[in-house]
Amino acid sequence: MPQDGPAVIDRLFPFHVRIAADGTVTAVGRSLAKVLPDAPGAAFLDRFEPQRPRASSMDEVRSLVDRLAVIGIRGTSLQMRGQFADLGNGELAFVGSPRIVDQSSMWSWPVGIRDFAPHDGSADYAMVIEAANMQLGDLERLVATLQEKEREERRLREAAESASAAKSNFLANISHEIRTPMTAILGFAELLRDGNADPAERADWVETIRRNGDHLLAIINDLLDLSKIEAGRFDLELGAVSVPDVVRDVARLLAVRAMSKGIRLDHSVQDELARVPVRSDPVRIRQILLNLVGNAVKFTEQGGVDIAVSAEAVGTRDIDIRVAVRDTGRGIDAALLPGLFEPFTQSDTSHTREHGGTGLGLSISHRLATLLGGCIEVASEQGRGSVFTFVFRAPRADAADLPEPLPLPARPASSGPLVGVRVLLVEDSIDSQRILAALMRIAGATVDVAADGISAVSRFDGSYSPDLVLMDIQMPGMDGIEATERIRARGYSGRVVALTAAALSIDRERARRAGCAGVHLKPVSRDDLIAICLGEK
Amino acid sequence: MLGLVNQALQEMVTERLGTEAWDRIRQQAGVQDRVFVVMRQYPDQVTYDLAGAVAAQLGVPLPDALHAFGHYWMAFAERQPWGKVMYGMASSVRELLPALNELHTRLALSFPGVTMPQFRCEDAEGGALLVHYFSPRPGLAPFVHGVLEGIGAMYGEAIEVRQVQSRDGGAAHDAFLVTFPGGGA
Repeated sequence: MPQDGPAVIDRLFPFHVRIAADGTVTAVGRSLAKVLPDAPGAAFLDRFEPQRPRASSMDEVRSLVDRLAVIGIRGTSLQMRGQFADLGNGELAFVGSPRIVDQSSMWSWPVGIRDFAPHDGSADYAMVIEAANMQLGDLERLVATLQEKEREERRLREAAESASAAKSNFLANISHEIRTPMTAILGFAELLRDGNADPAERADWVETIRRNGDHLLAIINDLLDLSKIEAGRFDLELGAVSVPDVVRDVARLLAVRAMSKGIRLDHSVQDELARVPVRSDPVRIRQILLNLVGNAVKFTEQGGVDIAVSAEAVGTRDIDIRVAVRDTGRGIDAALLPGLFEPFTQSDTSHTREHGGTGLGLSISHRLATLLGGCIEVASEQGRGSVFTFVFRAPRADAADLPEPLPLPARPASSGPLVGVRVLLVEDSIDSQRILAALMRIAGATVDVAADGISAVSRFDGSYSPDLVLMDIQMPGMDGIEATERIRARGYSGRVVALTAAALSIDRERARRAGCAGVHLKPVSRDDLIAICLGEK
Repeated sequence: MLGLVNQALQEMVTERLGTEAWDRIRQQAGVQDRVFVVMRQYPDQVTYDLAGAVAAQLGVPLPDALHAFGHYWMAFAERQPWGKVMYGMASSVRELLPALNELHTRLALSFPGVTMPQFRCEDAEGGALLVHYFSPRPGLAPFVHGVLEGIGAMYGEAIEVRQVQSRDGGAAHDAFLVTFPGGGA
């Protein structure tokens, strides 16, 4: 429908102002009327303030015609941007829209986007401003993400640096721990070679070498255990175990040491449930308890050590077993407790010298306890003593699965324990051949030596049948595994026992499959060697 | 497609399924971006691949996932500055639907180079509104269906949306009939 001039102006410019020749407002657009409904009839300059350019009289306002102008609405912070137009006969019009320079300048107007004429781009500025704000928010989000990543990286870097420092410290300690006994061994060996000492001195030096050799071996064994645990390559061998039996064995083993120090070593079972066999790793439980009780005896000078076993049922299947080792020793400084389970951390490093030990026992025990699904708790008071409690959870096992105690084999009745025993020693290392053969011969055995697998196999021609074959695993040409298989293939049914310097469990498995009755780690002590020959180990 | 759209999809998944689920979806879609820049244009295929992976993760057909995302998109948009803009343009579903095209035309100034959808709204029988939807992008009708229902949720109005015309069914464009069982504002 056709519309007259004022109506068209109103649709096109809903924020316009019409001003009569005398400066009175005669009409305002429909959208501006929402802000100034009573403006018509009022003086223009009473309601509006030309701010840019400034004008304070109607004559000055007239000079603004056809120029870009910003006018404010008095009593508010609202502004309009537009231009004055001369309508003739002294009449003026201001056509424009709300001036939008930021978010608040848009949303402080009591109008919506639909109050703007469709052709008017002013409202779009509001959206552009909102888009800019959204980008700003996005930027802040991205920066926050970046900062979080930076923090994460810093955490990782610090953890890596800390791990690296711990490793360096660990290596420095290992180096120290190995060099110390090595210095004694090499030094006294050199003195012995010079041959200038009397027999008493020589015996003392030999004993020092043996003691330091034992210590070195203990360190190497502990390091192997620790590195296998840390590398996640430590396999548990689960079976039925009676914890009170293990405690009794450990107490018996350490009783001599306790007695020689003049201290008590008692053990008790607190409740019957603790006697129920559980399924766990008996060897590792024994290792942990040997360490805890051994430490307790080692660091107690007066009083004694009590081992108490207790248990608590968890549901119908599992049992929580607690073995508390309480001593009346010197106790541990509270400041040292947090790092107690770290390698080479001892309450006093001089203890290592004074009492022996590798400084690795507790950290191995702690890790083994974790592997067994448990932990080691410690409470200590300096001067009063300590309580180390090994706690672990395990399912009940059938008592019938407990291993039978091994019957003691009858030893040949003669001067040496190995008299009448014939051993084939298969060993490529000349030094090992000499020491092992000498130890067994001194004990009364008849020892045949083969320097490699091939010559060992060739001995088994049907008539040769030693009581025992001691088989080295790693040998050039034919290794001990293959040699064992071939000896078995030739009908030998006696015992083959493997000796290996490789500590990996995979070697043990292969040796067992090939027909070895047992696998022992080198070096072996004289007593162990005799026990192996007699089938006691 | 704007990064804003992908970001909304990411927010929907992480809010409902967790960040690990989003990582799985992102990997399944072969999308490397861990964050999206809202104003950046990403290839449409990124959004399609992500939506497909979301559907696979939820074990629902793709149209169902897009429909759910359409709902979420309106709740997401309302939280953005555009919420104020929409409320400034219309106080009801009945006012906003005819203004959808104007809204997108004005938005285009803020998103230079973005292909905006087009809408045409006309009165239908019984006070209903017929919304025609035009877009060069295929397969997004379920998303728009969800968006229209989401607009009802935004204004707290009970509306019913039914697709009455489909490009997949051979029509030139998609169209939706919006009815107001409660009469509408």
